[in-house]
Amino acid sequence: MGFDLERLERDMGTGLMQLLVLATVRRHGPIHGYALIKAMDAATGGRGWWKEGTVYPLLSRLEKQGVLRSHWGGSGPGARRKLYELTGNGRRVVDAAADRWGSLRDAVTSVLEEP
Amino acid sequence: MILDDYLDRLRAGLKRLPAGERDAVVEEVRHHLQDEAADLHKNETGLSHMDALRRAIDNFGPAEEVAAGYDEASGEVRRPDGEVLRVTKAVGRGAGRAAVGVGRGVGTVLKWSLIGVLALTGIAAVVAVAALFFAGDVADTFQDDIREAIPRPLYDYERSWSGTTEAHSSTTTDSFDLREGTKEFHISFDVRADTGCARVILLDPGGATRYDSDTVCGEATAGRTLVFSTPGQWRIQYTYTAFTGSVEVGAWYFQEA
Repeated sequence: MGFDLERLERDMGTGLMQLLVLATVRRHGPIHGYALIKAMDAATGGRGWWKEGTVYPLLSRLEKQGVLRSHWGGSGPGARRKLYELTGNGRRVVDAAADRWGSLRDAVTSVLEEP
Repeated sequence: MILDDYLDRLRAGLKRLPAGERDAVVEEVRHHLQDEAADLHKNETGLSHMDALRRAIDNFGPAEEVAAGYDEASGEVRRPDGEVLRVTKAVGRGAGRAAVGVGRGVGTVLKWSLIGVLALTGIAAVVAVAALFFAGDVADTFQDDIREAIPRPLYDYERSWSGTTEAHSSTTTDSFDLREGTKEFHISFDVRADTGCARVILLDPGGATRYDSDTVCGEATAGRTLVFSTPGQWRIQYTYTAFTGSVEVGAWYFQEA
């Protein structure tokens, strides 16, 4: 059986996607899904690996897990949008995970760059 | 027409969701596709409204795949043949209880166990990269980092009241247990008063006061994050007097490798 590079990329992307979404909501929230995706695109310089349709189920899951909350906002016809923001628990999870991700990233980088 | 066709297929794929939730998902996706199509039409010279909408739908992904993502969000995995397996919640519940110890309420334990699984999945995905390319000691080191990286919940409290008709008055005591052998735990307090007053006091297993927010009244805030290590039952006393605002208290620990 050959090495499945696509699966590796998918596994990496799935895990990191959650941190990226939460970090973006923390910076820009309350924010609706389309604006969130645009913000992530801008922050990553257009190098995003996600399909846009995967973001909304992820937002739903994060809300059910208690790290995000949502409400419908906006005014006027056609302006109603579902807005997301971090809960208190969400802020704690993002801070803890982002801090540890930095350490892990540095460790992996140092190994990959070993001569 | 193509938008309605797409949304109809999406709605059909979401039939396992409650009707209200299904309607909300469809509305949210409709807004996204309309917003993106409008931006594409505005920013790309010569692109018609219809072509912009087609491009937006293509960027979003097949309706059936998007709907399948909501099955996973609800704790189900849909196999290619359509059979649905309910897996994540039961596994998460058991793993969460093993990791957390005594908590308050099945709902709180389930929520935090899913957060733990979420963090584990993300960090474990990166570890999978290293483990595939390197063997032995290097992979073991990363696994230790992963175990230490996951915040494991001990206690979660989040209440808010708004508007004068919801002004809240009460005195209650809550508690959580820190197991023997746990090195330390972190606990954060966040009190935000709009009107009235609130006070939060943390008592250690010996009954000593380890944190006192003092009375926080009208458009004031108080907050701290502290670290303790005494095993046993910790208690938190909440006192509200005609209070509107929010109070959040959360405790967690990191497991040693």
